[in-house]
Amino acid sequence: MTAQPAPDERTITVALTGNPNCGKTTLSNTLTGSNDSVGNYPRVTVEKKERVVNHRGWTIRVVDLPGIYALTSQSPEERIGRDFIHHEQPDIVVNVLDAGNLDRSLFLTTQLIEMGCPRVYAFNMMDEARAKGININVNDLTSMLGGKVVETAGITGEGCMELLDAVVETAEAMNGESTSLTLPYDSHLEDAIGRVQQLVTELHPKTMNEIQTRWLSIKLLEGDEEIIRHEDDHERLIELLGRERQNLANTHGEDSEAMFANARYGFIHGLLMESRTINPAPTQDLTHKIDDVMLHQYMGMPVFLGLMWLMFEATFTLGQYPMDWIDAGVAWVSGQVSGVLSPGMFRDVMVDGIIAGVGGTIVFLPNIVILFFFMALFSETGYLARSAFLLDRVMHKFGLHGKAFIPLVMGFGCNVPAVMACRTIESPRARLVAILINPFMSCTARLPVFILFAGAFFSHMAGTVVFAMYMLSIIVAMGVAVFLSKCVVRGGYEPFVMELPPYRIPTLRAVILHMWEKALKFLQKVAGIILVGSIVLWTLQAFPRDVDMSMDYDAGIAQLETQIESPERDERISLMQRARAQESLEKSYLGRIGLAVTPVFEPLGFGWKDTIAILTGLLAKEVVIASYAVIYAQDEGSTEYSKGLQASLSGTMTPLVAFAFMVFVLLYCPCLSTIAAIRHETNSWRWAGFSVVFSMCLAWILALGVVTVGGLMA
Amino acid sequence: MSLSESNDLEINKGVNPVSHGCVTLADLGPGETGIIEAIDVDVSLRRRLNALGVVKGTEIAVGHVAPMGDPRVYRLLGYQLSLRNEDARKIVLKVEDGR
Repeated sequence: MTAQPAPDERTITVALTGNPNCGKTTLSNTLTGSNDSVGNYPRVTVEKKERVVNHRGWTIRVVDLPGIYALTSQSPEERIGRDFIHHEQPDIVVNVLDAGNLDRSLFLTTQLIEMGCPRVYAFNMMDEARAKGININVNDLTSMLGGKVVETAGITGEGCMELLDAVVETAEAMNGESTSLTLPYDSHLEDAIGRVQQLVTELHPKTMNEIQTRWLSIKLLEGDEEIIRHEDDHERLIELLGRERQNLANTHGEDSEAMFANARYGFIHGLLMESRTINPAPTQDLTHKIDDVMLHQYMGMPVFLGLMWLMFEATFTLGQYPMDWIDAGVAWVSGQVSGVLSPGMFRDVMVDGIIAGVGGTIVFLPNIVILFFFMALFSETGYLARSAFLLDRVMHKFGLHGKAFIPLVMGFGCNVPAVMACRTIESPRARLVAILINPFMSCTARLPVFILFAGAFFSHMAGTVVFAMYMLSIIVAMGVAVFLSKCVVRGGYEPFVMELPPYRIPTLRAVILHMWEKALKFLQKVAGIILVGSIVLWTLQAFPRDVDMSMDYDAGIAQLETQIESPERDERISLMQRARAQESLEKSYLGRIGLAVTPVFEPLGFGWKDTIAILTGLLAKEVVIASYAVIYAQDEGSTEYSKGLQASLSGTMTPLVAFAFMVFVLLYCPCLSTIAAIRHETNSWRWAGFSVVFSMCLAWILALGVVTVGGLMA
Repeated sequence: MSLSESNDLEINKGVNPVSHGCVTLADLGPGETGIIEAIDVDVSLRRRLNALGVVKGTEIAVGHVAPMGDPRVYRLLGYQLSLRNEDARKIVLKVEDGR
């Protein structure tokens, strides 16, 4: 607790930066021992993440920046990366590079060098690079790049300790000065830089050192909009820039920015000529071979659709077994609890409230885990990027960007991270459309509803009905995309420029971690909102206790019981018991709320119990199932869950109305967290509100359409 | 917006026009290779292409082709990049081998 002399001295901030898909997240997980999900498609990290690791007496704050190809201000992620390095000035930047892909990866490095921050280089995925026959002279590069170079392999953990050592050594050797290393340009560029730099130094006296003024001058000459905007008030500078850039363009026949880019690649080329040898191994290019099938002109699409179908079919059929076990487990617990507790309100709230609601939701855990298993598999292997490639043409027709496909698929998991992942789309317009259609993608919270309803009303083809809901969600998302881009957010052309990573075999650890993380999140939700929701729902349906019944059921039952035993008598008793339960539920607070709102859903054929489920689902879609579980647990007095729930549901509506209900739940209103995410990502309540109102109307209209068209066909 | 437009100067339109008869990236058939000579796209796309190694002098080959022939995969600097034909048409190649 006593104050150290200089605690800051032993604490450093390290920013981890590099191209998308260069293994940053895996490396940083290995370094810090944490478990963030990774994927083999560009840009898994959409926000900067921070972790702390201790090494040789130093506290190292590791900030994992989003993957970027350059430090311009093209996309929000590039801006996050650049602003962090520029404004928050981390003590050390660790530049992670894909060692098998240095020619391109070093482009970002040239920009980091110019920013002048102290650097350490991690030449990552060294194992893959060696397999390609690549050999790198690390010592040469250390001096040429102005920072220690460490060979690493995030997956095996190779070089991780050395990397931390290098960071600490660099920190110990720091004397507050930036490592100066200048990238040489040709004389025309250097002259222009010199003149601009002179004026910049004059305009910003004593606030910037030489590296900073040179960096600023280069950025200005390149024509970086954001930087120019900052200097907008210096008329002389703007004027000089215009002149210099026009001059360069005239003499070289090329835009000054392209000249800088060419010079950077020239520098990289020279660097690698000296320090890298490649002995092309006679191995076959496996990625190319796999793509011959996966990206086949005619086979590609059928393979893609087949894989998608397989995913949903497996989610349903494989999930059935563990579901039954959990179901049985919940029933057993419920039975035990009923036996131990004495009859009364406490037992009711435990059995019909908490165990019914939580148990009714938790049975769907296997389905959710299986779906995430497939999604992890697709993203880790690199197939997800391929699917974006395959679908770009189609997506483009719908006013969407091929890259929007990845957030859309993520939306099958959960819309919240998916909405955030839309940041990978550069154009603001395309990004907005992608964000607004994402809630229509059926997240795993809606999956239980489909499984329950498909099982109850379409048991002979449940898997196909679930698949159909997912297809419908895609169709609606596409349709809305067309509508939005034609009528609401019109805009120009956005190019599709995407890297296709090589196929990689996912590590079992990564896939399991991914599933575990998602399962845990689901369980947290069950323990939180579902638990509280179940108690609230139970309370609402259990009170008021003393309502005026339309007839004296108890007396009626008592009277019947005095009669001679016969099957007919028992049936009349049970009928009367049901009528009593039904009426007391209708007259409870919950019933009254449901009945008050039901007229809205009358045209769709939904009853007041369905209305309650819909209303509670506004919080989170998982609550829909919990609501049914609580309502029917009370109604039937049953202690069996999803099977029992399925049975209780099956008589309550026609298959057609059930289908309409599934359509409604699929489309109506994003959950609270998604609304918050939309608000955050669009930075506007207006778009969040638009999303709510629009999806409500759409869900209602489409559900009505299903009922009407289905009614005509019947 | 006006800033980025003013940034365009008159260079792109004036100096490297894609005149008729030029071989562009879109003209290459699967498996064929070319060397980039000029990139005639707007500032924001060119900046992105530059960061991905699509600059003058880079060797680039055509790989797989998506259904309906668009977009296509290109191989350069040892990795794979996908581009729409619409954009590939604006990337001019150096004429060689009598092409």
